[in-house]
Amino acid sequence: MKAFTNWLLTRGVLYALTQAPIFAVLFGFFFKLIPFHYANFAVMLSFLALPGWVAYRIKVSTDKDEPAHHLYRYALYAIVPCAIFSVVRIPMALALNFPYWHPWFEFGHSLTGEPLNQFSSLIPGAVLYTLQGTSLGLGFYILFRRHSFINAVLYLCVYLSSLYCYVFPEYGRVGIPTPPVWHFIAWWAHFFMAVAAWYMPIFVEKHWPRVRSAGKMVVASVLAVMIILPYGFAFVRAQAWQFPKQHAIDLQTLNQPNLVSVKTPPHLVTNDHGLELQFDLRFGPRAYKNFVNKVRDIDAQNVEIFGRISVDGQTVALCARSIKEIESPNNNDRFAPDYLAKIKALDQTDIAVSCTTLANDVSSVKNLDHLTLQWNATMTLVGDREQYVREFSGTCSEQAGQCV
Amino acid sequence: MRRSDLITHLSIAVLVFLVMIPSMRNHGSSMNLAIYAIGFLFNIVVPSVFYFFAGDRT
Repeated sequence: MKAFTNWLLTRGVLYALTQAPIFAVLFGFFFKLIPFHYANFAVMLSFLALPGWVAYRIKVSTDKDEPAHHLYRYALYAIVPCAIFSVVRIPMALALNFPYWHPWFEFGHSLTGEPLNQFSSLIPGAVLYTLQGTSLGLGFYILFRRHSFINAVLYLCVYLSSLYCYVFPEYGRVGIPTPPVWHFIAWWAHFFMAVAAWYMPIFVEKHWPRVRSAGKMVVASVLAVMIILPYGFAFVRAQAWQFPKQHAIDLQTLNQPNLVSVKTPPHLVTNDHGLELQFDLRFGPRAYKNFVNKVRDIDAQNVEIFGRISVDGQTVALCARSIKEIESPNNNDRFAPDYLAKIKALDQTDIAVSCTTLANDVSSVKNLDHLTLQWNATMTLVGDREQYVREFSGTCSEQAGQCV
Repeated sequence: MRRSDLITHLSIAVLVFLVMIPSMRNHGSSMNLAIYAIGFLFNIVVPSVFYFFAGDRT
């Protein structure tokens, strides 16, 4: 018990405080046990408490091995493995169009509410990723007394990769295929992260002092480039490859013909208001794949539908319906286990439009076969990145045998 | 491998596994679970082997 208390004071509390970004992403973003912004508020509280705790431990600790004495150094070391984790994924990003920055959009969107796949969500997401990656490296230096190669590989490669390869596909990549090559890239990147974490103390303590002053400039520049590179590459690649690719997908998806059509011509229904004329529009197919092959449904907002029902050119009923937002699994359900089932269920969404007859009694509209429906619908169609206002219209005449 | 580091490896593997159990009931393709299981076993077996055969020297 004494040994455990001692561990808690020397390493446990410090580990818990520095791992707040990891706890936040696990319990707030992936497992959804608490709202992500509350989880990140806890990160701020942890980081506020951290200097106080470190100052206290430095004051009372006599063990020079205690991580509190070396936290500043460890924090600097930890920046490099975090950068290396993404640097080694750049060749895959180029060769396989593997956008390693894709989760950054999700992190940023979940924290700020900014739209996905825009720089406004990418930038806060990159900040969160940096906090998480640096925390993981820092955790290694805090937890282990000996920063050996085997400890680094076991903790940062084997343990983290296995966790990463379970949590991301199950909770973060719902609706996105996760092939074996994705798992390979995860292990590959974590392995180099582990190597960097192991090498950083050796580099700083043994190799850096031997480098001459001119060489130090070169080495420092290489390090700086390596740290900036994953972010620079992600931002440039998002602008040059991802956004144009998504633009083409959105353009094709949102402009497909017959996205709205008549499912059921005017018919009589009994509802709370009694007997009413109604027709049904069908919105779909809505499912498409975005730039990472995530299956999504087209969203529709500000939907305004109007209809006019006539007999022999004489208007007998007027129809209207407004919908602020058509039901979609894209937002709150996008990580739910039944996400794909919801995508499928809403792929063809039916919209019932009620009509008001001009005559007092709806039963005066006797022969439904002679009705002609003219309808139009205006809506804002929302894709992964872009949105367009589109107008649809058609005529439906059972007698003429056509309904469009 | 130091004894404290061995305990750290084992504790992390077991604690995280315990935390993950509830989520595994509802989620988990066989491939993702298999990868997690490999990582879990490695974090138990490899440090133990290093500790028992190489003691404090690695």
